[in-house]
Amino acid sequence: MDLSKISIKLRPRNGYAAIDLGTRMAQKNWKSMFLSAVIFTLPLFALLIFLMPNHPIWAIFVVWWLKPLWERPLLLILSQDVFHQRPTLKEIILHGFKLLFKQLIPSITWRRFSPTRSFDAPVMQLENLSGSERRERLTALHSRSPSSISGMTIMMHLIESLMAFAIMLFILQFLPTDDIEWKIFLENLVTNSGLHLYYLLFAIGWYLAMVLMAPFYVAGGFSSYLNQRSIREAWDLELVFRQLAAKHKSRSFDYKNIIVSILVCSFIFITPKTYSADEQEIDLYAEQKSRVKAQIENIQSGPDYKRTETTTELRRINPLEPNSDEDESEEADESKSSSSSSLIGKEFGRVLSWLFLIALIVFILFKIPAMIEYFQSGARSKNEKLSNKKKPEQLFGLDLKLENLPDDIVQESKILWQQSQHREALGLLYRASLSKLIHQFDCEFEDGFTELECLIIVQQNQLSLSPYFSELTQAWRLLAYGHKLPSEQTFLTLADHWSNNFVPETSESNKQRGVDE
Amino acid sequence: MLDNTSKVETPEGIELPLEVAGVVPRSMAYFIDFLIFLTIAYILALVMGFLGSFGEGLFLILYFIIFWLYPVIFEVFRNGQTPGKKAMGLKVVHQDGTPISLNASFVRNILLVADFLPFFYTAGFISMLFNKDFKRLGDLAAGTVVVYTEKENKEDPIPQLKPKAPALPLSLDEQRSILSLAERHQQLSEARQQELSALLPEQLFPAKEENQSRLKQLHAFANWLRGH
Repeated sequence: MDLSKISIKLRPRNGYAAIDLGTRMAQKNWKSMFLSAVIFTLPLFALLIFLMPNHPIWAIFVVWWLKPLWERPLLLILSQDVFHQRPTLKEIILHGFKLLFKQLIPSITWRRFSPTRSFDAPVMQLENLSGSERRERLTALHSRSPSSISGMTIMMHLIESLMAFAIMLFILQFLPTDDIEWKIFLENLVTNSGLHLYYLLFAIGWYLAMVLMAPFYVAGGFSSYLNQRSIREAWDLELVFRQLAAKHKSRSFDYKNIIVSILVCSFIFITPKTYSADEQEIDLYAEQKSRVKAQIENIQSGPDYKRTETTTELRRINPLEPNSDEDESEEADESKSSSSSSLIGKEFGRVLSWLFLIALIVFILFKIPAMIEYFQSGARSKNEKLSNKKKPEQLFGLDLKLENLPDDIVQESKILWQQSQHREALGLLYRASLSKLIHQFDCEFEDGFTELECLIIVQQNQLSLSPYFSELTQAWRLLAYGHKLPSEQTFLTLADHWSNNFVPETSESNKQRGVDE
Repeated sequence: MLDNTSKVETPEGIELPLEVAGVVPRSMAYFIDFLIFLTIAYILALVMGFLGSFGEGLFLILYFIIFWLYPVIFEVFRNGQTPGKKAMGLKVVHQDGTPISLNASFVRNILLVADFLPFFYTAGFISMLFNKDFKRLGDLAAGTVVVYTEKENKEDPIPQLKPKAPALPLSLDEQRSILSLAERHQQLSEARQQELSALLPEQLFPAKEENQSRLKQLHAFANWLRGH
């Protein structure tokens, strides 16, 4: 097996993801797999129908029972495709017939109903193991394998039978007979009183569903098998390591190769051939072979091939228990009311159930806020993840770091205004307001907000300073983008009111200090 | 290379692999949801049965609401996960990987009826089996996929050794593999680990420290790669 030629991406997958990969493998090879499934089953199915035309159900049952046999050619196609080989249909059929007789009896008797059938098939078919070897290999592979494989078997069987019924009903819809009443149909199905048409339709539906699903089931098992081996034997690592080694070998190869070839050439010319050396080599080879064989046996008898694991886990056997309890009490209620059967009892039941309904509504009304909170918390945690909670350090190009602002902002801005640096003066006021809003009033501005969006946030937070802030924003926008200078009067009122709005604590403490004095 | 992912290319030219979920886990998730729905409907029917024809009407209305809104509400407000999907570790997202919107969820759940055709979800099963991203008809219409919720990126413990830098520059894939070998040191047999480390080129291991086994040195590299 040459891993470098493998056509699937090797990485450890979880059980279900491995099955999904199998579905993709089946999609890729669907045509040839479907075709060979039909080639191997249709003659048998047709023959059986011909032999016992009154029992189509038995015919389809035999085909269904022999599933493990006709699934083998499908596995053959997949196993070839994994290594980029595409056998022709003729090859598949020839090879497939040979495969049919391999371990025939156990496959269609006691192994038929194994829930891991398609997972086990490669061990028998591709690794050619049988008897106790096969059993040991399987226990080793199963020991850490997830429950997904038997889950797949159950689910695929369910899908298959649903499809079989669906196809039958679908065909029935188009039949121009007027006796397709459910009662008659079910009666016929149960009592087997004539009308083999339904059975025939069901057999055809089942057959179609079977050949449709078989490629996916086989591929799911095979892919799980590959995944399990890849995990246990670290195929993905082997592939990368081999590539790394090859890369470095080829790099150093160039000059070494030349040197070696020169040496070899010179030796050929200098030394006469000796045959004893060859004989020695053969001995060496035999010895090495026996040693390797011993090593293989040693490893096979080691713990890796006989691993047993016992795991205990707690499982809830019946997750619906509490509900069914409730139902029972409910039913008990019902039976009580009906058994007493007197008018009073009935009235009582009615009153009770009205009370129950009212209580339920009250309970739901009471719980609505909690429910909203439950659903919103999901959305909120999503939002929180999206917006990192970092406070922005600058908005629309204005530096908002606290340490970059002067201590007395009002004084500073007035001085700037008097120096007729009007833009800087108003800018400082606005900058300081934003900075205060972020750090003291906990407004959640985000990077990339515009001035008006900041204003909306402030208004949403219902801060008392929002009228002032809106005025300031307006003045700043006119100056910054419209180049319209506010009148000195406006600026001075803005500046004077700034500390009232933004530093209430300090103004209060100032007042207090005044009172103390 | 065949893989079970669906590749999404972002405007920045980055390829994101979405691990799409196929028919088996999705059917199981639906089965769980269906059982939950049946339980709710059964309890409702029991209660409403007492109220005569008023209860009957109310039951039909509630049945309608629950039947259509159960998946939508959970998908939109609970991160694309109905209880069944959550149990199976699945969630619905748009096919570009963004969280599902109300519109898309509504479309895909209303079209569950189309997937039911002709009977018993046959159209849905066939569509899921033959679509590359395992979409049912509703998913095709709404532009959504069901993906596995990515597991938390928790670090597996590796043997603690004095970190050492590899002697060769390694690609990302190769670095990952060396780290992964150290992370799987308890799952793989000792012999297999030795065998794997013997595959690597000699240049990777500085000659002067031959007394340390190759595997030990690889573990030391892994410590270095992880930044211990």
